[in-house]
Parts: sequence; C-alpha cells; structure tokens
Amino acid sequence: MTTPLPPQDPREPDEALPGEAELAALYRQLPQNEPGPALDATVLRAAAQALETQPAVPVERRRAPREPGDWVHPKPVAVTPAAPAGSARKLRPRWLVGLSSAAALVLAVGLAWRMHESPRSESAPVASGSVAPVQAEAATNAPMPPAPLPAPPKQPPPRILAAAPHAPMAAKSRQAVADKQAAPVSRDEQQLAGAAPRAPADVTRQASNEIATSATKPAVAEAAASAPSLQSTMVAAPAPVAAAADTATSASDTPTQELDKIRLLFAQGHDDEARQRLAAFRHAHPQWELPPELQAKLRKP
Amino acid sequence: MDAAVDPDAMLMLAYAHGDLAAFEALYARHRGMLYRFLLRSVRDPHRTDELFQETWSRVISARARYQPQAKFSTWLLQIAHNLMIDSVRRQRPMADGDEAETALANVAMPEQDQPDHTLSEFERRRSLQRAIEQLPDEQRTAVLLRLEQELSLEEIAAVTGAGRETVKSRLRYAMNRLREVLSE
Repeated sequence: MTTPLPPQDPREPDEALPGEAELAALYRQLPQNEPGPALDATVLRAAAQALETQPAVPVERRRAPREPGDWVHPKPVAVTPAAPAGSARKLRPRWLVGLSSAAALVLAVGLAWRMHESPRSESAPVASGSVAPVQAEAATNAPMPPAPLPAPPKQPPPRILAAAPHAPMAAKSRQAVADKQAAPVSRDEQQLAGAAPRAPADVTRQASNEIATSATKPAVAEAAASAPSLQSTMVAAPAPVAAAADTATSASDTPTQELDKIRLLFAQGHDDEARQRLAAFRHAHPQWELPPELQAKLRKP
Repeated sequence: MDAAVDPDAMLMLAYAHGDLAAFEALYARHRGMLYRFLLRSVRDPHRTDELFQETWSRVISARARYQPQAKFSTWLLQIAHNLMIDSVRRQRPMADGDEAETALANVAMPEQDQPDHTLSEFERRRSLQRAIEQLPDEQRTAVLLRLEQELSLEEIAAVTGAGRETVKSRLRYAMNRLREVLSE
C-alpha cells in the first residue's frame, strides 16, 4: 500500500444526495459511542512518552527510514536530522553485528559439517581404499615426526614433489563431484573397490607408499622416506586398494575425475599409461583446457 | 489547506514541537468521531479499540513529518481507514449478529420525552443500524464518513482512495438501501 498524502482541500460546494437530510437526522440519534477511559489514558500516555523519549524534530526529506508497508507517514520535511536520530542509528549496528555474527557462525558450522561429512561419505564404500583417509592420517601424523631425526633427508623424487600439490586438488574435485553426483560416484567407487583386489600386491604397496608421501607435505614425505617407521607403514597400509582403484578407467568418470586419475598415474610412475590416457582424454575432450603440467607431459613423450 | 485555516493542523504542529496540551486538545476533538467510525465499520469492540489506539499511535509517530496540506480530520480518517482495510484483510470474519448489536447499543440512548415516540424512534434507529451493517464495505464506509463525519464527496474520495463519482455512486446506492429499509 502506498503512502497517501493528506488530501487536497475540497473547495467546491458539495451537492446533497436525495433523502440525506432525513438519514443524517436519524443517524445523529444513534448511540454516541466513545472510547473508554483506559483507552484514552493509553493514547495520552503514548503521546507523552513520545515527547519524553524522542523530541519531535523534522528529519531530512527522503533520508528518513520508512518501514515496509508504512503508508501512514506523510513525506518528511526538508530539515536536517537532529541528535536523537543518531541514537536510533547507533542501535542498528548492534543489531546488524549480532545478526551477522550469527550468520557467520551458522556458515562456519555448516562448512565444517560439510567438510567433515564429505570424506566420510566418500570413503564409506571404499573402506580402506580412499586417498582422503590416507591424507587425513598423514596429516594427523605430520605434527609428530620421529624425535631423533637422522641426517638431513635426501631430496625426494621429483615426481613426488610434483605430484604433491595435486593430491589435495584431486581430493577437492572428487569431493565436489561427490556432492553433485552422490549416487553415481559412490557406485563408481564401489566398482573401483571391487576391481582393486585384482592388482598385484607389490605394485599396490609401492603405489600406496607413493600416494602416502605425495599426499602429505614435503616435510612429512621427507621424514617418511628417511625413516620408514611404523608410522609410514600405518599410513601406507590402507592405500594399495586405493592406488589401483583410483586409476582404473571408468566410462562414467567425469573429465575432472579422469584428469585426477591421470595425475595419479604420473605420480605413481606409470608415465606411458598416463600419457596414453591423457592423449585419449585430449582426443575425447578437445575443448577441455588441460592444466599446464599435464600439457607439458603431453608435449614431452 | 493552509495550516492557519485548520485549527486542528495548528494543534498538530504544536504537538510536533513538544506541546503535549495541544495533542490533548486535538485528541479530545476527534476521539469520539474516530471511535464511532471505527466501531460502526468493523463492528467489533476489541478490534475497534486496537484500531483506535493504532491510529493515534501512527499520528504520534508521524508528528515530526506532518505537513498540513489538508484538514487534519481527513488525514486522521485516512489513516484509520487504511488500518481498517489492513485489519479486514488479515482477519476476514467480522462480528455480527448479537455481538455487533451489543457493541453498538452499549451506550445510553438519548432521552425522549414521549414513551410512544421513544419506542418508535428506537425501532427506527435499530433498523438504521442494521441496515448500515448489512451494506457492502465500501458503501458502509462512504455512508459513515458522510453521515458521521459530514465529509464532502472529495474528502470521502481522498480517505477511501476512490474517485469522486465512485463515491457518489456508492452513497446513492447506500442511501437508497437505507431508505428502503426504514420505509418497510
């Protein structure tokens, strides 16, 4: 409803309607109802309180806040706002701060819940095969390296270092795909998990070691390489199934998943197979913009 | 309308500048007519009280921005009418029958000298009340503004947001209907 302005003053003489005088005379004899004393007191008290709490001062035109559906108030007068308007303005930030804090808290909790839930739901069908649990375990192990660190560790293999930054990306993209296509991805992972036991044990063990080291930070990778302790075997233990399962070709893979698998193959040292699949991917998706490192791999035979 | 012409507008301006006595005078001048307009329109004493209080609350909160461009009473009725429309939209069913009749008749009748005449006039007033209640909303509002507030066609049009000819037509239909009921 729009704000009505006070109507214009009618100056034209008004014509009487037929029979109006008789009706008006009878109407004036109707009970003259009036508001009760309590209602009078309420209104007068409100008027007095309004003067006490906030002295009436005209506010600047167009700058006074108008509540939704506020069609009652006429247009404001063009006068500068006074000090009491500032007090109302001071109250607003408090309210906004509270609301924004609550919104930020809800957002943070939601994100944390989401991030906490995604790896669990993804790893559920694969049990011990997912890379994410390996990363998680490696991350938990990272702050506690073996106390007596030997001499400065050797330079880790370059391919591990090269692959290390991609592992989180692969995990992220897999999480994103899992969010969007929860059912198909879980089915794929079940298929992959089923195919995993066919892989040779030594290959999977080697791959798992590499995945474990590539998934962690370089410092952790160095520590694990220099001191292959119980921790490293614990970290690597669930990986073999994942290594074979994550690199197997699946027709239902999205391009992002396929690229992740190709990266994983490069990281595992299966360069030939990786290049073949990369070439096939390029052939199948000529419009897909390859990441720079994969383009480099594609160029170098 | 110029503020100097309308004493109510002057009172309102004085209240806007902090004069509480001006508001009390303004309230005393309009409380009865506003209350009757609301009561006969919504026919529910509880909602009438709410709307009455809300109307004056809007007047109080709008005092700083009040500009006397027309009669204060017209502006006041405009506020009340809009609040009433909103209220009707929110809760459609109205009080009717005995409740409405009780609400409208809870104030003592004007005394008359002759008992026979009193009975006859009482019946006529009761018929008029019922006939007004049974009018469509727009016609009832127009009739109340005309008979109770003695507003002109233009003022009724301004309060209700309808055109002058529309108001005139509504009044014609309503008054014809009231006369028919009274002549039965």
